[in-house]
Amino acid sequence: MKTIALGLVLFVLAPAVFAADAPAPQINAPKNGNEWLKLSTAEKLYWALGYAQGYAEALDKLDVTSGPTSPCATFIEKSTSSEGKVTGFELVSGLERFYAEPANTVIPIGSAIRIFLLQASGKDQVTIQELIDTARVLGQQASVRP
Amino acid sequence: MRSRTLAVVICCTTLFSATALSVKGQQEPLPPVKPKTAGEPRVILAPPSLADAAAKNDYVSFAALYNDMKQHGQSVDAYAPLYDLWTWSLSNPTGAFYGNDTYERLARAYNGFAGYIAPYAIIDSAGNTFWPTSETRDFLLARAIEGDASSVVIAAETPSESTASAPVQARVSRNGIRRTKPISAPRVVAPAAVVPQPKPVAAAKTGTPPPPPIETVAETATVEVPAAVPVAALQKKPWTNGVFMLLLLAVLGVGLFAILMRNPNENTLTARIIATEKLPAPVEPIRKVSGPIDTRASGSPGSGEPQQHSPSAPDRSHRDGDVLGLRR
Repeated sequence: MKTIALGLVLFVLAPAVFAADAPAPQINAPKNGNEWLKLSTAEKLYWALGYAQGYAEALDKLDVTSGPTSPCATFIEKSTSSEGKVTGFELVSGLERFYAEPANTVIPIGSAIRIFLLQASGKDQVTIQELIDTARVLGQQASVRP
Repeated sequence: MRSRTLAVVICCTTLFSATALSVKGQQEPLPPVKPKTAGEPRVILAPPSLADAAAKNDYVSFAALYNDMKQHGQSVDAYAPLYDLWTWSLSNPTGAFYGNDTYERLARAYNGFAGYIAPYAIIDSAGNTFWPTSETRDFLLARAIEGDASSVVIAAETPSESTASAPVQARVSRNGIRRTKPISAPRVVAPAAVVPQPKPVAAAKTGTPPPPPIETVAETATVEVPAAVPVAALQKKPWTNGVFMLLLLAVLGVGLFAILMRNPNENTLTARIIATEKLPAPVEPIRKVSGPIDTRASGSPGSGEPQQHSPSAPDRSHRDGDVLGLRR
């Protein structure tokens, strides 16, 4: 009986012991320009493809659940006319341009994408610059925050 | 009258003591203020180099340095391929990747480039191969630092001056029509002191002596105090002394207390005197009344004629009568 109990204990503990030897793989999505610039171009491209696909999936869900005259429908129409038309190559190139300025590297990547898309849609430069300045401040605060 | 005299004495005493204290405080001089001397430490910022700007992914500083050095006739040939490729990548909507033409030019220009860039190649769904600009820039930067200048034209389309001012372009799709629309470049805050510094390798290669180092003195936040400023002018003002303010408040409080503690019957008597002055009737000698005054039974001659006014003091009797309740 003791032997069986000991065997059961070893059987239960063995995976935990072996799992402790190999560290769990960990990859985090880039948060801002500093982390973005550490990626290789292939990683940037695949991340951009995943981001675009996730964005499109979210828009599809909104499209199903919202009515034709709801604010969500307006948002979808605006989003699909901008985000939906940018390829992964263009998104990577746009972020590379955006983060080519060192002051922008603290800006979160989501804000950078929105600013880039507004730039691509022909938004006036004054508004774009205001958004960039605000995003820099928020990014700086976020980077200081632990 | 005694209380008023006492209040005046207290006021004078406190004022005199406060003045004496402030004068005593000024007798101790402050330490002398030394003017700013020329021997203070100054921060000398080292001008960034092309390699530093490229390594930091700072295109604006890199381009500014490159153009400045080129205008001054310094050799920037080693960095020309990097500059061309970087500028082209920022002026193209898909500038993070380049195609076969640029790849072949680079492979012809640099030995070992094909082997270096091969693992980074990206093949799209149609089977077309693209190569990343970012990794290529790293390669070109390493070669530029080594001083390996290539005479090959990297970019197939060198951007003109008009596109260089607005390098960012993006295709905008609206109603199915694709067009190219220039977008102003993101504004980059360049460093305050961008001073060109030639690369030692490039300078040694061309044989031109390097220019003398330019010291960029950062602005310091120190305030220069002239030596002619008198010390007394920098001393603290006496009326800002806390002791003086406390004494002043004490004086005011004592004065207010003395006013409040005055005998209210004196006001009544004063009013009666004022009202009696205008009448020809004989004036009785003024006596201080210890008890309350019965205004109804007052035998004052002026109490029955509130409407009579004298030209010299037309409203005083009327006002005093109202205030003191004599009209009732």
